[in-house]
Amino acid sequence: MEPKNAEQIRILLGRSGLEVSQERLESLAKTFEEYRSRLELLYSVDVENEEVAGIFYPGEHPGEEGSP
Amino acid sequence: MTQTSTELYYLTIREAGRLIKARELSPVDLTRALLERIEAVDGKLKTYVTLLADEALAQAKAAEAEIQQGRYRGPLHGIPMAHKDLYDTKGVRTTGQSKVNEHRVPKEDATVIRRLAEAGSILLGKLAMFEFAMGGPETSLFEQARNPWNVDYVTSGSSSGSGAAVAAGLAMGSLGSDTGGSIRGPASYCGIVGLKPTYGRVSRYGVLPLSWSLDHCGPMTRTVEDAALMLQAIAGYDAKDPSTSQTPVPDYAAALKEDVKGLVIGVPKAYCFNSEADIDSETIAAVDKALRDLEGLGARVEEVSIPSLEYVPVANNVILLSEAFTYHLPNLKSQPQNYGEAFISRLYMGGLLTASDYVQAQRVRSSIKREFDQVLQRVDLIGMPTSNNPPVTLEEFKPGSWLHGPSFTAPFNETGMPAISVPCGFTQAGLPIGLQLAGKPFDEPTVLRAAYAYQQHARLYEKRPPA
Repeated sequence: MEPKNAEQIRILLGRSGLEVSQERLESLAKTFEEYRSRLELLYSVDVENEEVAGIFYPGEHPGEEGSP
Repeated sequence: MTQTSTELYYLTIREAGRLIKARELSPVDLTRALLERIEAVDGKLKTYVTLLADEALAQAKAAEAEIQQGRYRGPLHGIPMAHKDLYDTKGVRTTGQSKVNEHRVPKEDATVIRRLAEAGSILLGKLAMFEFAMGGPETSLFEQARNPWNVDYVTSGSSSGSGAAVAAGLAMGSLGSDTGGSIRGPASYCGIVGLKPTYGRVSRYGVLPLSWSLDHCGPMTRTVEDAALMLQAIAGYDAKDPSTSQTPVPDYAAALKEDVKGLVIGVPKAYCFNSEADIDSETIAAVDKALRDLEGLGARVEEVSIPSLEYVPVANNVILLSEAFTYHLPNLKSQPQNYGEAFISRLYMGGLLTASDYVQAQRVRSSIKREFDQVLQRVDLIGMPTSNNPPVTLEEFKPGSWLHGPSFTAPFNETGMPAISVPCGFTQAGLPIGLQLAGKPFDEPTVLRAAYAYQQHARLYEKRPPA
């Protein structure tokens, strides 16, 4: 996983419609760099055939016995 | 009335409920005692962000009248409580302790607030918290709660006011919320009981969200039996919260037995008793002794291996930050200046994560849950410390600490398992330490039973903070 510089962070936050100060961008770049090794750990896990753990109820009666 | 008002505020819910039922204690006298206690010490502890003294007394008088007319509702009737300021309360400002919501007044009660009111409890007010349930003691609105065992120390978060108020006799019980440990952490640091029920056991409707798939609502009390009584009132399906389950709600108080014979407690020692991994030695000693005490009471304690615990903090953070960022995005655009720095600096990180990060975190979460499911086929409970370190001073608190270190509470937000923190000792500096016990989904009765047996053995709930 590549480090992110202030400009890359500006673009990423810009996708969500956010404009933040240069000082904030630099601070986030530093924090992201600290967090990067953790994110790499996430991708090191062998999740084989695991699906996402999100919750989706297709029926009209969420909360039936045994769910979630 | 047999008690003096100085004793009343430290009654447990169960004790007070029995006296109220027998008409030996007036809810009005009890509420007055709590209000006097708040007036006397909350200037130091700063637990209340909204105090509803007149309204509480009016509710207490109504409760008293009902009981005198023979309409006793149950063990919470006439019991004064206060709740974290993210539970919607009709007509009462609910802020999440953020300037973003400084003038927000809900038109409806959260489901759990309504259920507690229907059970007859009295609302004393709203309690301090970390801003929007994340970040740290520094918030954009109101002051922060102090630890009643030493006011220079943090309470942990995010249910900071709930932990401090219950410990200091300023509320007999409180609702906290827990996304990565926000009920159990403050319970541990303030020397009280905190129960995070199974995901889906308690409605989240009308509760300001942090992360929809990780948020849990639950009770914070001085004793395990009080947690059982509060859980009884709030548990159960809610059509307004599609994540709630229709699994029948058992009688939690009936589960409270001092007998733990035959229960098997699995302890992931390699992860949580590792003194080289930023885990405090006094915490290890206290929790190890508590587990040996449970063994002495008849439980079997065995070491278990759960390698995926290593991945829990990052998976939990990625899910939490992604969901929180999405929820807060409209206000991040329109009023970023109204967020506190501790919260917003962490929240922005959610905007840097990708869809792939989020999906991978949810897949890792499935993997973590699968591993716990396998372990729970062999054991009834998981036992471990609630926190890896005892409280630090407010000056020592590092807002960036979430980036590093283990989390002993987040595994049970990831898996949705019920987990309780019960006091198990004190550091040499006199600060509380918590034992955490987690059980199978919807098996709160076994969690409560083991915690109750330990509590009755250790009797640490009889200790009072000096504040």
